[in-house]
Amino acid sequence: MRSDNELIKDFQTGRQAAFDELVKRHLSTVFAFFLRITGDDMAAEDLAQDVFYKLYKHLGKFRFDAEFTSYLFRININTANTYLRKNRWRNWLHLDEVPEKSEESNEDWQWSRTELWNAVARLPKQQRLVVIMRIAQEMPYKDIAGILGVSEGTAKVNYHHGIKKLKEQLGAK
Amino acid sequence: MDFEDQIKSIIRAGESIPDQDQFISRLHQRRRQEILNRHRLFSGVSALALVVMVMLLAISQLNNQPGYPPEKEYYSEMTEPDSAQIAEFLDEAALYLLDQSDDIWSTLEFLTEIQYEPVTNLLEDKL
Repeated sequence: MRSDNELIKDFQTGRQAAFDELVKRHLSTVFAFFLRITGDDMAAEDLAQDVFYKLYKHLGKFRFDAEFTSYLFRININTANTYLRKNRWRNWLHLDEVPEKSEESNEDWQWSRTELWNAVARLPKQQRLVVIMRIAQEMPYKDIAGILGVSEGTAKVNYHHGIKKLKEQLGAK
Repeated sequence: MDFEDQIKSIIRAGESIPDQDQFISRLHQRRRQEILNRHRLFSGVSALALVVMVMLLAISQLNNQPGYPPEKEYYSEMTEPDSAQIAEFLDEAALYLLDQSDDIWSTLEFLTEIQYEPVTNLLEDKL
């Protein structure tokens, strides 16, 4: 099987099919990431489209300095970050009329996925990015640190501060 | 269940994945649409720039080349005629009337009536 880098090189020489192959290879990961954030297939697919569209536009300039998966995940994170900030305002303006009370509700906690991600959106940027990567992708701290260009310790500290603030905001036990 | 487990539980998603071929097809469709939109925008902006340029050129041409020559070419400045000029004009008019009239006496009578000085002086001298 051809590696990601080989496919990218093919794409950079003008072979469109190589890009399609990359999409097929990484679609499930990208889609699952956004599905965890949105809880909605349509919204997750739209966001995945955004990611691959950005990738198509910028892949021609990819320099192989970093792992392709890190590069792709950085696009994921930026897209999620933009989505959460936009969604936070939309929810604040009460554009979403139906409160999310579904099978997700549980007697142990009284908050929904929407409330959780709204609370994430209110975190300081660094904490927000670390929390997104940890909870939506279950990434190890080492990878998070690599993507954000910080030390592993900083990533851990940011995560714990972020989770603490989320607990306070959601009124969790 | 601790807080982090609660979070993981609430965001747990199903294993559904969109149809890969449809997804790629929509992606390329969107890409083509964006290129088309960009071309349209570029054409629109270019057309607008052209219209503005032609407009500016037309306005500057109108400013540089007036459609009508200056009024001084048509009209000379009005100056108040002095008494000598008026007298000269009246003499010429009187001579013209006398030349052109069929009845010189009625013309003289008219000049007397309007108190044309040379004629009235002549009459007074005779009297």
